[in-house]
Amino acid sequence: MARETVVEGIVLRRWYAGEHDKWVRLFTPEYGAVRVRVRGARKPTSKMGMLTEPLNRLKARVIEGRAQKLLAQPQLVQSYTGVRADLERLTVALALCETLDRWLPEEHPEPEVYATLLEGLASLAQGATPETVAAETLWRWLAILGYAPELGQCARCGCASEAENRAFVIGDGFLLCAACAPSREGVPLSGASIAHLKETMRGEPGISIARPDEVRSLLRAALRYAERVLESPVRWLEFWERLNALRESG
Amino acid sequence: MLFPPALRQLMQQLERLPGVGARSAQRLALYLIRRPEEETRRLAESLILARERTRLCQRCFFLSEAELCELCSDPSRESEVICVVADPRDVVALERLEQYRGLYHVLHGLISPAEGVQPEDLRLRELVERVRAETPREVILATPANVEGDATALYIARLLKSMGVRVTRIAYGMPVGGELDYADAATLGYALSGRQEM
Repeated sequence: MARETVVEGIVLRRWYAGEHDKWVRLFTPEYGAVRVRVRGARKPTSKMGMLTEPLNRLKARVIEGRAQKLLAQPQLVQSYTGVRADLERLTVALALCETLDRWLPEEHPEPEVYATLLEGLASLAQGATPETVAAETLWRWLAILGYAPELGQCARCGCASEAENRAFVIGDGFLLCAACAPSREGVPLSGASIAHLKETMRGEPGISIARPDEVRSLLRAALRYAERVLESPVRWLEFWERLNALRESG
Repeated sequence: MLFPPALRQLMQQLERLPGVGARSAQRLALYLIRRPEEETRRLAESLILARERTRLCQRCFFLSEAELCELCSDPSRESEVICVVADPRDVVALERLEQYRGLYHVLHGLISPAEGVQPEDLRLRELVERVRAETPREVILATPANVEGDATALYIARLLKSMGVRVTRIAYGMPVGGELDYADAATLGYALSGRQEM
């Protein structure tokens, strides 16, 4: 990164520093996730306070200081207001940001991951169901970042059966056929779900055209698999699951 | 470090305060021991007294020395309106206005799962019980305009939805005296979505 660079990115996380400053982790397509300090952002008169909140897509200057990078002159590109007005959408959007914040190393470009995040946030803002967006985005990230599971055949006996009720084994990230699955912990996936998953992994509209029950099972598998990859639960996803439980209990 | 043990201990304790680094702790400790003994003693006594006497109001969870805070004990306050805030300092800020005459409910935080704060860590169960028992006319949500504030407000609105109480959220947007040209886009967006009928 040059001494002074104009970047565009999405704020994944912010945390406070001292009385007036805050840090943000900005995810940019060219430089990956960058940790930058925003001086004076917490002063009541600062214009930068609102702009540098999580979920905002902004354009800004990143200035390389002696010990830290500083963010200056942020301009809002998109604030996803439609997402912020709905608890489920907001929670899923923040869960996606938290997942990436924990997943991405510092300053490692991942333009495809960035594009998928933009698509996910845009879909949420346009009214797509949060379950579909979460499942589709998480599976696509798993594929892009090298965690794509083997979906063509049973990982134990090697059968290529397209039979129903194969189980996705979470911890190891592969599929077992119905005959091999019972002894293992896994999320049952129907043949149609696996077909949708394959399409999604190829970047095609797979999960977005799946039935609600297929989306739910694919989401459950994605959540558990992503948590295993991250080695700890995504807290906003946990909160979202609690919201769903609250909604179902009436 | 060459400072005597008691002074070192004081510096270590001061360093634990928010926003106080090692150098500030050193400066404060040296300042305190140079003041007249009576002054230092008064400070120490005030610290202990405040810690011992201050507790949370049993009704609104604002800071108090009695079972009920001054606001909850005041019969002239409108008990039919409850304003929900995140922090006791927000009560003080709203009271400075001298416009609001209702009661408060202090959550002591905002929902922030990423920081480990879940709904049960806040005074939400108490809010629901209070709304059920006191049947207020309106609950005003005065949480900040950030993602945690939004999530908390939406969560409370959902909790109270079935209880038949009017739930509103304070408006966000343009500062008084501010010009549109100088406002940032996010603030302007909030102001526009919170516009009022004239």
